[in-house]
This record gives sequence, C-alpha cells and structure tokens, in this order.
Amino acid sequence: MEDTMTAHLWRRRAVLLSGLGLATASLSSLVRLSRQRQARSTAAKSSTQKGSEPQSDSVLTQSSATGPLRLGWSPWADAEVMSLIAQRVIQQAYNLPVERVMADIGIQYASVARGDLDLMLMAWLPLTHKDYWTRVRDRVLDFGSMYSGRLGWVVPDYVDASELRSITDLQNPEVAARFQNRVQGIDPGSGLNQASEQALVDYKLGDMRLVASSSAAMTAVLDKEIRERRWVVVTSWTPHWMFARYKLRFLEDPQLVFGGVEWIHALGRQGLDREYPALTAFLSRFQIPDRELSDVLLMANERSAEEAVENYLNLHPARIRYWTTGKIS
Amino acid sequence: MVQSLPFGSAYLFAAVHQAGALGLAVDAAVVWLLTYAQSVFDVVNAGVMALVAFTEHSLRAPSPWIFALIVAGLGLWRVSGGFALFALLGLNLVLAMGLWDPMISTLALVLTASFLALLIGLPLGVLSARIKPVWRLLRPCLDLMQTMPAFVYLIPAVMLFSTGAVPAIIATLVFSMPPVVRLTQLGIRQVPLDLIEVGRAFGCSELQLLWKVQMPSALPTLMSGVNQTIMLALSMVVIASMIGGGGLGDVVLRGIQQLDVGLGFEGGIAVVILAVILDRLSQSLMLEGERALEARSRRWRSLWRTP
Repeated sequence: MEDTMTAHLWRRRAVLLSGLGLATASLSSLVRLSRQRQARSTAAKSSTQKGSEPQSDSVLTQSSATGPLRLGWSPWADAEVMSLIAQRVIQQAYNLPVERVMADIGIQYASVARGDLDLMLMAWLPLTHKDYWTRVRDRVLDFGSMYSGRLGWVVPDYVDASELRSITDLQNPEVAARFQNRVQGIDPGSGLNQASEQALVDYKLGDMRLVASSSAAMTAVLDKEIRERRWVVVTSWTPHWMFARYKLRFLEDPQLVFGGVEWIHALGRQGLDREYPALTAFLSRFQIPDRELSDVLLMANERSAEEAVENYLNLHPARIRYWTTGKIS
Repeated sequence: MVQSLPFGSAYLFAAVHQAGALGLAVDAAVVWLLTYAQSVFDVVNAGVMALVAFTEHSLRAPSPWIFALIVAGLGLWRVSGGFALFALLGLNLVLAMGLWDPMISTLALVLTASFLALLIGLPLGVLSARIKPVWRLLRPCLDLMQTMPAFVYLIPAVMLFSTGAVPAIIATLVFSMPPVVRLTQLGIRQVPLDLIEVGRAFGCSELQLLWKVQMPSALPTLMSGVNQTIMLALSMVVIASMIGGGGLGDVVLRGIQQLDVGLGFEGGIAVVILAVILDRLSQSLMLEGERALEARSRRWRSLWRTP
C-alpha cells in the first residue's frame, strides 16, 4: 500500500518536473530565437544593401500617394520571382519602398484599373487575359513585355512521340483511351481552361473530357502519374517550374487555339508615369531572357525564391545596370 | 494567367457578362453603392484600418519570448499547466519556423474582425431575443451569411474596400457574425420562465431583468457563441489571403499553389497552434468557474510533502 502510494507520488512528481523542464528549455529557445530575430532586423535596417523587407508584408497597407508602391502578385512561381526582382531593384535604384500585395489575378486587374494597386507584372497578352484586358485597356498603362510564355497541352516526354505529336493525334480513340479520355485542367473560368474547352471543340475531341481543378491540383496529378509512368495530358504554361523538374513537352497546336507565343506585360495605374518617370523608364527596359528566368525558377523551386533572386541579382550586375540606367556597359 | 475563381461578372466593367438577371442586379447594386456611397465606405475603411493598425502594432511591441510568456502565464492561470506548456512549445515552433510575423498579422486580423463581430452581433442577438419581428427579419439574413460560399464575399469586399487588410476583415466579419447572434438569442430565450417570474416579482425593470437575470443565466451559451465567432474568423482570415489579407493565409496559399507540401503544412500547423490557443483562452477567460489556480498549486505543493 505504502509502496504504491509513493510510486504514484513519484510518477506525479516526474510528470511535473519534466513539464517544468520542458517549459524552461522551450523558454530559453524562445529567448534565443527572439534575440536572433532582433539582431537580423537591426542588421537589415542598418545595411543599405539589404533592401528586402521581412518575408511577410505586414497587413498595415495604406493605398495613398505617400505610402509605399503597391505591387500586386499572384502565388505563381514566375510571378513571385519577378515581383521580388522588381521590388529589390526599385528599392535599391530609386529608393522607393515597395510593398508586395498578394491577390488573385482578376482582383489585380480591377485594382490597377481603379488605382488601388500601383503595379502588376503578370498580364498575359494578347490571348490568355484577353477578357480582363478588353475591360481595363483604356484605364491602365502598359509598360511592355518582360518575357514570353506559352500555353497549351503538355505530356511527359516518355509518351511515345510517334503516336502523339500534336493535339490532332488525340482524335484516335485508342490514344485517347490511354489517357482515360481525360485532360487535366486548372481553375474553371481561367483563360487556359477556356482555351482548352475551345480546343476540345475545334479538334473534334468529342470523347475527351476536360477535368477542371486548380493549378496546384494539376501539378499534383502530373506528379502522381509521372511517378507511376502513366500517360497523362495536362493543361499548362511556360515559364513554370514543372518544366525544370520533369521532362515534358508541349503537344503541337496546328490550329493555334492556344495562340502560339504569349507575352507577359507589366501594367501600372494611370498617373504612375507622371509621378515616377524614372520608374516608367525602368519598367519599359525590364526584360529577362527566358533561359535566365527558367534558371531562377529552378533554383527558386529547389531552395527559395528569395535566395534565387539574390543569386540572380549578384550574377547579372550589368543587366540590372541597363534596366535602371539604360546604359549598356 | 490562371485565375482562382470564376469571376464572371464581378467587375466594374459591364463588358462581358456571364451572369444572369439576378447576378446583373447584384452587379448594378454594387456599382450604385460605389457611385453614391463611396464616402461612407471611405470612413469605414479608415476606421477599420486604424483599428487593425493599432492592434497589430501593440501585438508586435513585445519581443516574441515575452509574448509567449504572457500567453503561457494566462494559460496557467485560467486553463491548466498542460495548456501553458503547449502554448510555450507551440509558439516556440512557430518562431523556429520563421512564421512569427505572419502569425501576428493573422492574429491582428482575427482579433479585429472578432471584436467588430461581437460589437455588432451581441446587441443584435439581444434585440432578436426580445423582439420577435427583428428575429424573423434577421434569421434569413443569418442563413444567407452562413451558407453563401465564402469566396463570394471576397469580390464585393474588394470592389468596395480595394485590397488589403480592410476587405479581409469585412469579409471575415460577415462570415463569423452569425453564431454570436444565434447563440445570444438562444441563450436569452432559454432562460427558465420561473427565473423571470422571480425577477418580475422583485419588481425588476425590463433593463434590470436583462442585465441581472437573463444575461447571467444565458452566459454559458453566449460565450460559446463568442468562441465560435473567433474560430470562424480564423478560418476565414486564411481564405481572405486571396484578396491581400496577408499573414499565414499567404504562406498556406503559396504552398498550395506551388505544390510545396512542406510550406503549406508549416503554415497549416501555425494556424492550428494559433487556433488551439485562441480557442482555449477565449473559452476560459470569459466563463465563470475558473479552474482554481489555488487548488492546483496546493496539489503541486502537496507532492513534495513526505507522506
């Protein structure tokens, strides 16, 4: 009786003491991390080289002429990289604080047209964003293109090219059956999905179905099917990190349903050119070769976008100088 | 290039419409509001902005370890030793993952939105419990607010308040207000009749009856409404990152869009930790019958006495 009592007591004591010990350890780790964070933030403030803000922008945003420039971006790999590059260059070269605001692409068009956002970097023209573009065309500034992209249907490279070279080949019911008659699409209502619907009609692919989902789900499906080396068709676009991660190829599009090459433009709100003429000059020179962009995207996917951008800016000082000054050294 | 929502007609440009007659009417209503009530929205915008700025600023003021210590201390006092330990470890994890700043942003949004929801919802609940027609009018509105897909609020919120913290808070407010209204109404309606009789027999005025009899008796139900509102606000704030709400939602959204399972999971875990802390604290801080710290400390002390 006595023994069980003391055993019980000791167990209780052990629990309490280990709890206290854990709490102390956790607290000391918290203090250490807080100190590190403090040191990092003061270092970032003191050095002028570091124009980058902490990873997450605070919610304290004020859309006013005196506040920071508001740059809209969407959580796509290329948008993240481009917006980070633009943010860093504008902050360093023109000393203008830039705040990145993450929002849906449709919201970005509406906000730039209304003047809530100063800039957006992801206008896919002439075809993908045609709907948005026709509505905002006369209320935004177009700073020209930064790089090119392509939309279409993509298959893994192990899919036999002799059997399937272009979308037309999918009219063969046997080939279509190898794909379970499915085309894996992205978000309903998006430009790419609408074009894909059109493709089903134009190429008379009555047996095939377009499965709408989201861009994330599309990449997940692709990943899963490639692991099992099954045949799969997904709707996709370049630049995209998936081309760096897997061996893929576009299906030829003889009827140009997907419009060949697309250009990615930077748009700004009206009046931006009068308030920041230097910025306008930079944005119209802001172009990045596709090879360089895919390298940055690959690194961003393997490590982090911040690291990839840092690395890119260090590797190409001459290009940055040209963007900001217009001088070719 | 991709859009996350079928934003058919949700624009101020009546050019390409995919919506039907009802949708067009809603469109027109929003445009009318924008044309004639812009100044009202600007005032609301400035007010909410100031509130959230203040909240976030004061949450950011203490160093993370002090913040964690305060939370753990509150937990120890009101909930239990185990919870205090969880709060310490959880916040430690969030800080180690480098998600402290987004967590504070999210917390500021949740607290502001919940505060506004309670400010509007509690009086509405009391009114609808005491005045039948108000309840009849409110009920369908509440049904609408709770069952309309959450994404749908995002569009008008953006049109009226641009992007950023304010539309996120407004959308969250609409989404998270119903439970507090419903449960306040329910709690007051459920007060036993004999209690009210007693109150009346002692000569209570209507106001005294409300404050001294109905409210105390309805408090547990009412508090579960408050708790539900806070939890719903947290879930909506994550969705609101689609319109520039920022915070942990951004982290989760980025993880999802780029198929970065690890990043999405980290953001998700941070949300869960924040949710558990908010849930337990909001439940315990407002209820009577606190777990007596006195008794617990006595129990701990008694462990060290030799039997």
